[in-house]
Order: sequence, then structure tokens, then C-alpha cells
Amino acid sequence: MKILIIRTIQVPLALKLIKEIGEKFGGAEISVLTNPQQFDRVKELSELKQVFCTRSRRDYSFMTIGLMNILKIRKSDFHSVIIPHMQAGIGGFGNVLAILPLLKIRNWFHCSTDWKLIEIKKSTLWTLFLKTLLSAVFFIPMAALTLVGFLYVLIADRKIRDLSKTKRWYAGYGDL
Amino acid sequence: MDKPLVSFFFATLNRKDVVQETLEKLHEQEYRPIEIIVADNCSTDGTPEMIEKQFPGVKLLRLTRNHGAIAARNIACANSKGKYVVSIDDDSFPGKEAIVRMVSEFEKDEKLGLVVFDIYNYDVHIKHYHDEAHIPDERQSIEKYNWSGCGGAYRREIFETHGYWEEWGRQAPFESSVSAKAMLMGYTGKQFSDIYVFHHWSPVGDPATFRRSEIADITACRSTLFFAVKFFPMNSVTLIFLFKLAWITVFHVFDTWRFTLLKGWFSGWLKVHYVMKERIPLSQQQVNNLSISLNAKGR
Repeated sequence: MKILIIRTIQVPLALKLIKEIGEKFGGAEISVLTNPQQFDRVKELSELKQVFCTRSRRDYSFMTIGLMNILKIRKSDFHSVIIPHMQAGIGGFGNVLAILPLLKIRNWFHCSTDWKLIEIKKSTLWTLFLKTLLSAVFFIPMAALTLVGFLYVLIADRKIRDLSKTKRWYAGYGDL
Repeated sequence: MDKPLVSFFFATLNRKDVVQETLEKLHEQEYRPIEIIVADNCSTDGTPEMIEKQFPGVKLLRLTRNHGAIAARNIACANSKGKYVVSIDDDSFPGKEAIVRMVSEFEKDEKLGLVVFDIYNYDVHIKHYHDEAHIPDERQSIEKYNWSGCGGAYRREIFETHGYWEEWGRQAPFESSVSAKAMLMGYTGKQFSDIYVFHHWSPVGDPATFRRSEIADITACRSTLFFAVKFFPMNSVTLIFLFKLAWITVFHVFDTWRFTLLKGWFSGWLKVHYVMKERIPLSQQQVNNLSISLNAKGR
């Protein structure tokens, strides 16, 4: 049985997870998709069959993971994917969730803070889609406000810089 | 020639046991001369009494109220005298020989302004505290400016020229604010594989160690915005960064049904003129080197 872990943050944490997987799926072949910062350390782990590396150390979105990695994962025919997002922070969980349907893996898990595996229901994707849709609607006025704020900073910054360039003016008798 | 003084400092609040171990380990440092400064944010568990009794050589600053982690750190830093200042957490400490190596790197390279410590998980690696078996055989160094707060060293001139950590800061922006100032002075930042700290690990979201509050989310979002306004050049890349921040903020509302980030975002834009006054923009390349993540939730 082949298992893929996405988003491993540190080797000791990976080891804890590997142990948990070993207990749940005896004799599983474990692979990891990690970021370039952790790649060198993670690939040293003899417990792992294969280590994939994202293109940069950002979130785990489609662009960061890259098409080549997605194709490689699809070909590898994994039985399950595990996202230990509770340990790695939940900031990018939505991004990882969004690419799961592309990976051709049937079983999805995340794990609780005590490393117990919990199945991710497929309906979670629909919830994510709805949340994204709602966010998109409310994002429009926020983007407009951001633009106004940006322009304010831009103009104020220019003015401050222009003022610092002008020659200092002193009042002389002629001005009084 | 006299060796330069190195100042260690950290802020703490009600963590007597870890503080005790941290101070013991700091006293085991091979490097001398050192000074240790602890800013205590009004602990009630006997931390200051323990320090006074067991570590009389430590400079203890008993603050009159809880100033928060960053302000307390700044007070501690302002009370230090070392040529090099090492900021750590109350639950992290450097390896025994790390500071000897750190000082040698600083002395070798005048342009080196910041040393980012590598981090080793306490639970896994502390058994190698004496033999350093966790260090890779081949010595490596990379240019790095962002760090996690549990271990970083600066030249004192950076603080004297541009001030301390931004007190509106939180998490990544807080640490990177002094890195940005180091860059402005033309200094580089580096991480070396054999200059490291041992750090206790607290899982995110674990109810037992979950110490986040609503105000933490608010300040995390606001400080990301403030950081961009203070240090970023006003160009299209920054505009996209600010759009992304707005997206994360609005998505967080529907993802969690909590309005904390939104509050932070609005309060940030309403108070942005305060940061405008002290704007010191970096170049785009320098901002890229800082690797500021859009970690609006401070995680």
C-alpha cells in the first residue's frame, strides 16, 4: 500500500507521523511531498520510499507544487494521502485540499494534534468551493479599498519625498 | 585582544521550568564574556524569584505590567551592553559552542549583520547536546534574513541606528523588521549549519499549549499590512501582496466564521498613516530576500 504525505514541516514531526501510519497501515510504503527547505533533511529518512519537492517554499498550491510533481504523483498510484496540517499550521490547508482531486488518490486524511488520522470527507471540497465563492463576492469591495489605501500610501510617500528634496525656506525681512 | 561581550536576552511570562533550563544552558556556554538579560512580564508562578535566587548574575528586569513579548524584548535589548546581541525565546538555547562560532563569523566578516540560528527540536536532539551528532558533516551557510524568533544574533549598531523591533509587529514581521533595518545599513544575514538553538516544540492548535487569543489574530493581520507599508517599495508587486492579504482576510471570515483578521485589516488601514511617517522602503530585491510570508494568521 502506497501512502503520500503532503506538507511535512520537520523531520521529527515526520517521524511521529510515519510511526502513526505504520500502526494504521502495516507495511505501507510512505512517500512525502515537501518544500525545498526541508527536502535535504527529509530525503535522508530511510523510512521513506520517495520524496517529492515543491518548486518553492510557499504554500502548497497548484503553482507551487507544479505540474510535473502532480503528474509524477498521479503515475505513482497512491492509495491514500495524508495532510498533517494541524501540526504545520492551517494557513494553506484550503490550497492543498483544492489540488487533491487532481492527484488521483482515493482516500484523503488529515490528522489531529495527537497524530490520529481522520478521514477528509469529499463534501469538504464543496464547502471549500462555496466559501471561495462567497469570499470572491466580498473580496471585490475589499480589493477596491486596498487600491485606495495603496494609492494613498503611494501619493503620500511621493509628497514626503518631494518635501525632503526642496530647499529649506527661511523667512527674511522681505517676507515679513 | 579582548573578546567582545555577547548579550543574551529573552522575555518570559509564567514559564518557570523552561526558563530555569534555558538559564542553566546559557551558563554552560563555552564563550565568555556574556551577559544574560531576562524581561519578566509580571509572572505569578515564581519565575522572577527563582531567577534571583538561583541565577544572581542574570540581569532581571521585573516589568511593572505585561508589556507583551515584543516590547519586553525591546526593553531587554535596550538594557544590554554587548557588541553582539542574541535574541532567544524563553524555551530555546544555543548549543554549547554555537556562540564561539557565531562571534568568529561576525569578527571575520564586517558586512555580516545578522546570524540566523538553525533550529533543532528539543525533544529529538537534546540527547546530542554534548556530542553535536545532529550537525551535518559538511559545514554549510546560506544567505537568510527571516527567522523564527527563537534564535538570532545582531550587531548592536543596527538597533542604535534604526531602533528596535516594531512593537506593532507579530511573528514573521516582528522578526524581519530588524532584518530589514540591517539590510538598509548594507549588512547581510546568514545561517550556518553549526550555529543553532534547541527549541521546545509547541504544536499549532493543541488545546494544551494553545496560547493564541483573538488579539493575536488581529495584530498578526495588521502587522503584515504595516510591514508592507513601512518597508515595501510602492510598486505592482506590493499591490498584489496587499490584494492577497485582503483575500486571505475575507476567506478567513467564511472559513472560520470569525472576524478577527477582518478587524485587524480594517484597523490597519485606518491607522496606516502612523506607519507612513516612519516609512523606510527597501528595494524590491531586498524585500524578496526577506521572504515575508503572507502569514496573516500569525501561524
